[in-house]
Amino acid sequence: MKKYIYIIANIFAILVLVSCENELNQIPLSQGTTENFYSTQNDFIQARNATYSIAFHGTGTYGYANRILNLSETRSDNFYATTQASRDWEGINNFFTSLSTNGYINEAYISNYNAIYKANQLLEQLALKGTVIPIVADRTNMEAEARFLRAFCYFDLIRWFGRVPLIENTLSPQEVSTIGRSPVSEIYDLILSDLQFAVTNLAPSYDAANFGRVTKYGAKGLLAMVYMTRSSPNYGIDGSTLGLNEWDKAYQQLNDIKTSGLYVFSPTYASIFTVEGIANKENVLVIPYTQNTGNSVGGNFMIELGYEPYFASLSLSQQGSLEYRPMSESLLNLLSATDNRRIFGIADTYTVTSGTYIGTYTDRPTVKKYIDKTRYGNGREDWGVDFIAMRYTDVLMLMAECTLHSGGGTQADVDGIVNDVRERAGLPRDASNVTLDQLFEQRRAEFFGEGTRWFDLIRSGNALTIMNNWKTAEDASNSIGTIDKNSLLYPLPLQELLTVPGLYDQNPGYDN
Amino acid sequence: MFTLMYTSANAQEKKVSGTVTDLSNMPLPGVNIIVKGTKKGASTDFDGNYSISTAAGQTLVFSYVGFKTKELAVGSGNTYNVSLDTDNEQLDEVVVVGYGTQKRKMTTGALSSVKTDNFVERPISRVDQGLIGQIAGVRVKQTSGLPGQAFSINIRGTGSISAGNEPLYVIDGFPIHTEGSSSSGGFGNGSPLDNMNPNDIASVEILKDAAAAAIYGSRASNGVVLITTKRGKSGKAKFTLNTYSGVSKEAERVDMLDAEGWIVRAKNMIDTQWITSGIAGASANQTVDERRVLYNAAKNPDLGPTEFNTGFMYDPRWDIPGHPGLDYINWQDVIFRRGEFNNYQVSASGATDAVNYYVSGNYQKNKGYIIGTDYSLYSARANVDINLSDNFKIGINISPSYSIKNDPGVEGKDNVLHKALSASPIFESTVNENGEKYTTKYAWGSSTTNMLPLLNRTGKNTMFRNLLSGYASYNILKNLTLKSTINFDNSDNTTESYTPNDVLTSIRGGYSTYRRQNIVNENTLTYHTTIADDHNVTLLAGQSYSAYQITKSSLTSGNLYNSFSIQTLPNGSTGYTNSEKNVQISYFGRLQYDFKEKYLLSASLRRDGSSKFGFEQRWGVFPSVSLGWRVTEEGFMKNISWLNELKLRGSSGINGSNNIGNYAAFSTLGSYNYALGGATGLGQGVSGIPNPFLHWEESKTNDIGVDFGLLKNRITGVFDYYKKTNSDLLLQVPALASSGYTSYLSNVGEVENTGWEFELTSVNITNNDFQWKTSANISHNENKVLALGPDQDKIEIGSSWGGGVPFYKLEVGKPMYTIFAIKQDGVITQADIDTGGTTWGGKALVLGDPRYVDQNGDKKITTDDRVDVGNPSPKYTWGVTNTFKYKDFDLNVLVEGQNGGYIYSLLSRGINRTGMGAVENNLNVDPAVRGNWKTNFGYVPNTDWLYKSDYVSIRNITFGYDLSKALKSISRIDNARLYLSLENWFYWDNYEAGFNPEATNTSGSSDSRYPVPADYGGAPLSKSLVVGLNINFN
Repeated sequence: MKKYIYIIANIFAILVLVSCENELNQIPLSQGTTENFYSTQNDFIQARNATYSIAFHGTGTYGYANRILNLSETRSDNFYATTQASRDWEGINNFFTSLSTNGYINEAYISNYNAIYKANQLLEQLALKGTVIPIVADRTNMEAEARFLRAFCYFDLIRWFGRVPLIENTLSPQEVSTIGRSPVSEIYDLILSDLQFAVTNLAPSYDAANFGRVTKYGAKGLLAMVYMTRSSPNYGIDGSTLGLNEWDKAYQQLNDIKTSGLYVFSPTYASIFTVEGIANKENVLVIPYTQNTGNSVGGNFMIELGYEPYFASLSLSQQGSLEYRPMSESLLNLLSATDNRRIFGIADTYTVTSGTYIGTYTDRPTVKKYIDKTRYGNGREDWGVDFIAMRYTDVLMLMAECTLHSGGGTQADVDGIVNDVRERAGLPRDASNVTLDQLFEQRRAEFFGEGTRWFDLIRSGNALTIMNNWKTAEDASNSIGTIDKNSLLYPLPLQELLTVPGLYDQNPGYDN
Repeated sequence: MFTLMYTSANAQEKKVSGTVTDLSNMPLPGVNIIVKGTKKGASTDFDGNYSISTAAGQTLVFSYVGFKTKELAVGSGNTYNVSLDTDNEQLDEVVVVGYGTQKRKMTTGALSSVKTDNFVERPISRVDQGLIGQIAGVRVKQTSGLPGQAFSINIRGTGSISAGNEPLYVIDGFPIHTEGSSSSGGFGNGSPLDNMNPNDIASVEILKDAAAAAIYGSRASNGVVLITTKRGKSGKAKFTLNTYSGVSKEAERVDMLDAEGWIVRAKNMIDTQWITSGIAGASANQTVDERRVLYNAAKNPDLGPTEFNTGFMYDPRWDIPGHPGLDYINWQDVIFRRGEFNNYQVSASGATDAVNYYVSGNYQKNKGYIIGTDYSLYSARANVDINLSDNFKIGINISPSYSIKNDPGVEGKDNVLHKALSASPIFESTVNENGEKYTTKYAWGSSTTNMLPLLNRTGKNTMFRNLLSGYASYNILKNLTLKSTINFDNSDNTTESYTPNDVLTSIRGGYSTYRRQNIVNENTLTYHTTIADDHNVTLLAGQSYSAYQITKSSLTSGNLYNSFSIQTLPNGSTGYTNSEKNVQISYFGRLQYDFKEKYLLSASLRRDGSSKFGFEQRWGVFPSVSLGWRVTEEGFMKNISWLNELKLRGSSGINGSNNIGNYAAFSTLGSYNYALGGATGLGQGVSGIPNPFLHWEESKTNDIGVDFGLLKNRITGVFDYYKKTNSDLLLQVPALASSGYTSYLSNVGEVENTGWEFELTSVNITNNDFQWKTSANISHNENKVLALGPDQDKIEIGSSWGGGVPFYKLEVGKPMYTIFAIKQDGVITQADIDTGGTTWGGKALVLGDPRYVDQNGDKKITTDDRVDVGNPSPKYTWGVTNTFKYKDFDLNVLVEGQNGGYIYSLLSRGINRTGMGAVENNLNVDPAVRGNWKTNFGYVPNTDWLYKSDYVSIRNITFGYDLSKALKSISRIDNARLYLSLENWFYWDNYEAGFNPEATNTSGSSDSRYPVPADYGGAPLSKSLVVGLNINFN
């Protein structure tokens, strides 16, 4: 009898275990899943924030700001960072032909497409379930934000790479593996329609709690830059410049920003970088960062051009900028010792009193305009300094550029803008009949270290002449390779060519 | 103590003594003698002598491993000399197989046992350490020389790309959940062998082929390690004391440039930079002052008379005899010290008819040979089995342990070992206001300053682990047993870090914990019967439930400390917690059958469901079958007297692996926060491409093997040939970035490992005074990728270490993680320049720069010039143990090694990089090999980081002396042994740019999807001198 009880007990145990099989249905304990996502307004807000996060902050702590400081500023004649041991920027500044594996270039490609995927998904979900957002205007504004971000990323992509695959919906890896590189003009069609939608539907401004979302005028700024880029000389490459004459369209968008009355030409150069958030009326398009939240919303872009001993002179250690990226002689010569922009923007001499780097540094001038110790948080990747992707001074100077291309406005407007800029810098208001060349020179003095230089060179039409002249003057050790029209685009990442062999062609002039 | 119970005098009782020998009259020490039917026991001393109290009419039972048990009736005499027959069926030894035991001779799968005597007889601090060099086909990698660090074990090569390659560990029947090693090579959430006391281990069996392991079906694709802990033996209580103490130092150093060598190199580079500076009038042979004048003329601001541009000017003190004001330093002298360690273990064991017990306690303390590192372990174990009745048995194993490990950050990039090599060997001799030296960067040197403060940082890891198992076993019928077990593994781990506000950095702290819990319940039914005398059948059926949960927390603070003396974290520190869980349910069955112990068959089937997989395909079925033929049992073999055992084996089976993230099948949301309005705008988004169709990765192994014994089994051996194919790999398939992702997890791809293993044990000499035994093993493995993702025949793994240029690849037809790099062959000559061409990046050739080999002859160096130069897996691994005994002395020598594999060394990137600058210290290599000039060409990964991972090591020499004779007068001592042991004293390798060719501490691929653990400054092995004592007493 006893044994049968045991047998029965065992059979019973098995039955119990079968019911245990339900335990195989484990759901993540610490992560949400997409199953129920996009079911509330808050879900949509979080999805929107995630799209901003990747488009602007990138992945990790490396975002758009870091990217243009490396791929634009360091590529240009503002820096002569050619000789540091095997850092990624060396090949950028040296015009290597082997850049297809460069980490910065990879990042630019991958982050932008990641953000585009997020934007596409948000747009699709808005179409499907957007009605959970009760106020129609909120819904439309969110759609406009998603389309702005998608345009922002595509524009960034074509500026670096030229033709890229055009993906307007969320697609599986199998589906994208049949889509080749699209002509730049087709990508522009999407960018223009997205930005026009954004310009029409975005709020003109937000309250302080929403500082960091893109406004109508931020979108207009980008749209103007798109028109200007389309209008710039083509150099005979498959790039973002098309040689169209749309200066007037750009001028119109910029003029709308000016006449909105929401923006102010900052009275001092320093206040552009020290006034935070919504109080800063130079901010037209801004990438916000906040320190000390513990939520990874701080930045670290200032280390790209910074230098460890300079940070040490501020008693900030271990910023990860051990190697020095020298500023070019021609940039330093452009800025007199009394120019407010040099005084505020460049640390010519600095002294470290304790620690590893004790000493006075006189021949290592460092860009410091964005380095604000009061906005340093928990470690080197937690700076709360906002990065201004387009500031009001830029808008005005771009208007002047359009004027000089007969896009609207007068020479007097141009001279006025340039003199305003000079005056703020502590220079005499003595500019007159400013030419395009002079305007670009003034832009260089105004915007050094802000990531615009390489694009300015391309828009000027003289990128190759200027870069080659500069190379002749400064590159005695012959570190810099050939600079030709192919140098105006970066190569597609090697991994993309390997993943689906034969789908994409490589940009000319590169090894792989 | 128990002897007290037997002091009552008995009229008939008398003392009987004698000598036990083998058939060749050699005395047998340690033979167990019991008086049948009582608890009285004794054992022979080293000379085979025994004495025991008994009475006429009682029976003495003599038993000894490897010999046939003999019974002897006590008559009127007082002296009984006994000779024991060798057990020709030495293979009668019982081995542990999954869910049961089996006679070794009856096994049909590839199964190896480790002799665990070694664990006591030499100073072994971890179980995995004791496995080095012992078993063919098992590669035990000591990936760190720091005390308390886990080893990495690969059985029969590596077959999985993304889903882990560590075996399954089963401790006393409890399959321990392992998360596998991380991409940098360590066990992020603990190794299953952490805190295990090797002295508690009775046996280790390694199941290598699918048939042996199949009963563990799922998770067994990398093999299974079965560990059995000690139980009491019948007889009165036995006590042991095992203790050792030793000193240690680093086994190897890296040959860096000394200060003079560094100066030669620095001058060379400074001159080159000066000449090519473009400064008017610059030429070589100008003095510092002349250069300053020219420099000041060309540049602004002016340098004063004591100022220098270090890129163009020397330190003039280099040329002054005695280099006043400068200290020349060997940093390796600074960080290494003499390590010291001690271990004490006591145990008590015994058994009565009702209870069988083994209780032990152990304390281990190891002060590392690198300043700031140490490890302590307190552990205890109680194994108790209770016979409630003839049919009903219960038991419990409890093993709590607590360890403390201090490592301030020694291994890996930018940690102390790397810095000690790369720091410039010259510093100003000045002392700062706190009396500290070398706190300031030397103007011509690297940014690394004194490393000692780094070694004073807190990096403390404490682990409390408790391993609990309980079982009940009931014989429902005579041959039918039901067994239920419940097992619980709990590990609480805390890591504290604190960086004081010293000269190196600002104050920082961290506090993180994890609690890892694994509950396993298993129920089995075993039925054994013999049909018609010749058909032996054992049937097993069972079920298993396993739940695993890990909860982590992390707190950090960087800038909120308000006191320098408080190390705990301040208010406002940031942190999070995170939990993950998985569940596995399994059903299994096995049939073992033999006919006259001649024809053997074993078949098993297991069905497993895992919560990690998609709802669609979470169940996997894992069958296996194996056959054996003991040829020597055939009548026609009986006349071949030299061949005692010959068994042919063949097996085939499928195992699984589910070693992926716990929720990979889900479309999980990741956190993508954004800064809104000066605060956090919480953001969430899809973090990966979900795959609800994920299922088990499978490995199919076919194995054929031979077991043999020759010359009365003085020579025994095992040979196996296998082919193991992993298919439906859980592989991260590369995707175009335009999909929004760069890869997705899918069951595709195939990897094949083929190889052979040979183990041989030979008793070379055996006579009264001298015995010599040799155990040797060698194995060979070839690894090949057979398939990857759809339409993909190659994955190049981009690495941040090489500027993104891939140097590892997975390619169909080639070994996993084949290293492919540009070859470097010396420096560029004038003849090269005259021939024309460009180097990496399109740069012109410069005299004296490193020269890369233009493989395709297109006159430029591009990624197309990369060639296959090796892969990380060794082709051969081997080990030889020789044991000598002469009278009371014994000597044990373990030699082992490997060859055929390669290291792509990240540490070499740090200290021996092509075109390295002058400031960091450099490996002491011939300038003609590496190029000695400061060059402006772009760096590309090339063969400068490539080394062979071959090594030959005399891992251990132990010299022992049996004290039994000397201590004969102390009757309480059964036997005692004193030994002297040398660990890692002799080591030969080709890895000039590192401390340890097997070191792993950093992700070599820098891509967790395709993990290749690599070395960026791993600690050398510890070379130690140890004195130890083993005492068994009663």
